[in-house]
Amino acid sequence: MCSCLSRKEEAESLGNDSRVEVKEMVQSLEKPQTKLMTGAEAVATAAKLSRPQVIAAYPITPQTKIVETLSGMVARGEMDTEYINVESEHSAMGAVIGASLAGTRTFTATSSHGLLYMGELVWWAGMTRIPVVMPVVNRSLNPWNIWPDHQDAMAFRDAGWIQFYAKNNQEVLDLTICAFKIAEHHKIWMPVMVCLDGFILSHTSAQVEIPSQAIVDAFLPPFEPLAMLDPDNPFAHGSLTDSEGIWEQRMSLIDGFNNARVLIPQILKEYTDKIGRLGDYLIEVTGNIEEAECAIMALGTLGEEAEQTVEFLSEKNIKTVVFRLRVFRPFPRKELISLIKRVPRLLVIDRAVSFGNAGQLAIEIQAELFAHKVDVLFYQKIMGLGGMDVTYADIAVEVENILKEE
Amino acid sequence: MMTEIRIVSRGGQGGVTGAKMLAYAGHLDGKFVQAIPKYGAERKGAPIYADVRISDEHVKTHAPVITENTHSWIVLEPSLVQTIPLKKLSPDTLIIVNSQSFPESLKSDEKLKIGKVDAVKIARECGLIKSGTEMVSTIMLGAWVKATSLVSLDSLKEAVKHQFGEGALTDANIRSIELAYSQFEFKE
Amino acid sequence: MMNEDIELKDPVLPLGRPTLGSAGETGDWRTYRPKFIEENCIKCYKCWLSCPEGTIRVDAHGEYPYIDYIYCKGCGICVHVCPGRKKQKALEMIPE
Repeated sequence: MCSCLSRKEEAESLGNDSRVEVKEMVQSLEKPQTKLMTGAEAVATAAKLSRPQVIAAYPITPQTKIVETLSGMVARGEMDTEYINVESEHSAMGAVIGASLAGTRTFTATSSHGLLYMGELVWWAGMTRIPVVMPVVNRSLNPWNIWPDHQDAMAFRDAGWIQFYAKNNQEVLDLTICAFKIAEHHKIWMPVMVCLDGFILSHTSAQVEIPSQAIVDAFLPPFEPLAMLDPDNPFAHGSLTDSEGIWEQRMSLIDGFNNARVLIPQILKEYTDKIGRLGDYLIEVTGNIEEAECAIMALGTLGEEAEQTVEFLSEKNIKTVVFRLRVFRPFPRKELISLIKRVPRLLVIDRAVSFGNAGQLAIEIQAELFAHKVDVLFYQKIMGLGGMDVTYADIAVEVENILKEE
Repeated sequence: MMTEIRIVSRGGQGGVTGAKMLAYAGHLDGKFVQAIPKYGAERKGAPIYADVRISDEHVKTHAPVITENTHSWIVLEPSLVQTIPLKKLSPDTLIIVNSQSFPESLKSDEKLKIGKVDAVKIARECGLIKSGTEMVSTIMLGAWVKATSLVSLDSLKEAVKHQFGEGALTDANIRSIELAYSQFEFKE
Repeated sequence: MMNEDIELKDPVLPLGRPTLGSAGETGDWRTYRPKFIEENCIKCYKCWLSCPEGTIRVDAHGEYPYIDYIYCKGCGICVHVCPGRKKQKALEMIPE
């Protein structure tokens, strides 16, 4: 792998003619740049900066521009990466699992039906601890469609993957870089999904500040495998074992998520200190919590939409606050309870449903409220399924209805 | 201040690319921007729209623009005027139509600001024809810049260069923008 | 930000390292055993290749195969594949 330093040395060793050009290149590597890009391009840029050694992906719909952009980068020689063009998502994850066990940093991307097709191996990666990073462009499931909601990722909330939900293109980039460090932490060592809303982020252009390669290299050191396939010291990975063996692995996975709950804020803080912006919180709070008549809780872009609702309603003299869960797995219970205890009303918005019950976020929050005997008026609303537009004004109407009811 | 713009076009006319270029021009002017496409798969010929936000502050909302709040509508094909919910629009909303003359449905309007430019004629003059269709989106952006001055003409030309790279296509597009800038007219 | 005061445990990875007789001494599962008849053996080593448990060894000098009866489960595959000499197999199953 070439580091920024070696490029500088390369620049110095070259003749005068090419010096100007190379100097520009070195500058562009060192300074952060703000560019206009779609969420898909932000993911690809973050992946490029994180220097994955193997990318395996299936390029056809519902795949997004993420892998198209990355394959272009690899083809032009901008990335030192082995790109494996596979024939299905199932194979993509299979290839990535193998490559990870061979001791490489790995990356793939998928969306909706692609994630379902990958399903068996998504669980395989989760249960057997493969530290792969995979953005999931959230799209609705059957019947055939391409519109955004969280149903696809929610179907895999129990698969042993860490799940982040990003609110804008900037956070998509920042979280993707952090995801590598989190997945590969030796006390975590598990796969990470970075979820971004289809179209709303993946296809929408917005400004993204891109950190320099040098600064990302300083944050994210090369991949250090915990176990690596080696013909001289052979092992089988994930082979048939007795119940005790499975039990031990499951208990270890539970411990791993407990570790992640502690370590993720530390890694986010390190990123914020070295690179900027992100912040170390698992739940983002926007608005004045002490004055709030109602708290709004949501995942992904609906979280940032609700931030606009806070401003919109404050003009009508209605005080609200947003709790946006940035990470859904591990579920940030303690932080959540300490926040909810301070508000009189809570509106939970889900962009997915567990059919036969309610929205997944609402179900899980209700369980915590019961366990901790929190006294709050609880309201839930399912919004934006199948890509139905949800504006800040729509969320405001829900809040106003709640306040009117009493 | 936030300006919300909706580009109405038919799939294949360059509406989505136009939204990106307009957002890029705003980005070059130091504004916070968003370019939101809204389309299904394989939509050539179907009416589609793309939204642009240009703002002085970070844009928090991700939803498509709310009709009542729209600052301007850029209509790439005259028959698409009928898809605009005219009654819902706020007073002084700007509508720019690619048309030889002002559309009948807008002629008697007193509430809105109506403008037009014959983008098809300009596209033919500049040779902006692809697969038999006149590519009018950059031309309409030139007219919009003339009408509003909300982004600079130089930034728009820069955005076109960023989109198409150096070459004959960029030169033709820039010429077409200049023609649109001089030929745009408001309804009295 | 609250930090739970927990001990961070190391992950348990599902790694199976090859060991001799990981399922115990499987030789006691046997009701029939393969008996080796040296004069019929042509040293084709098909038995060595086919044994599902790797209990047939070939010594370093490339001589006759040798069966490890501590781990041989008595499945009979070696007898089935043995071509023998002049239709006389070099392996046959006999009761334990």
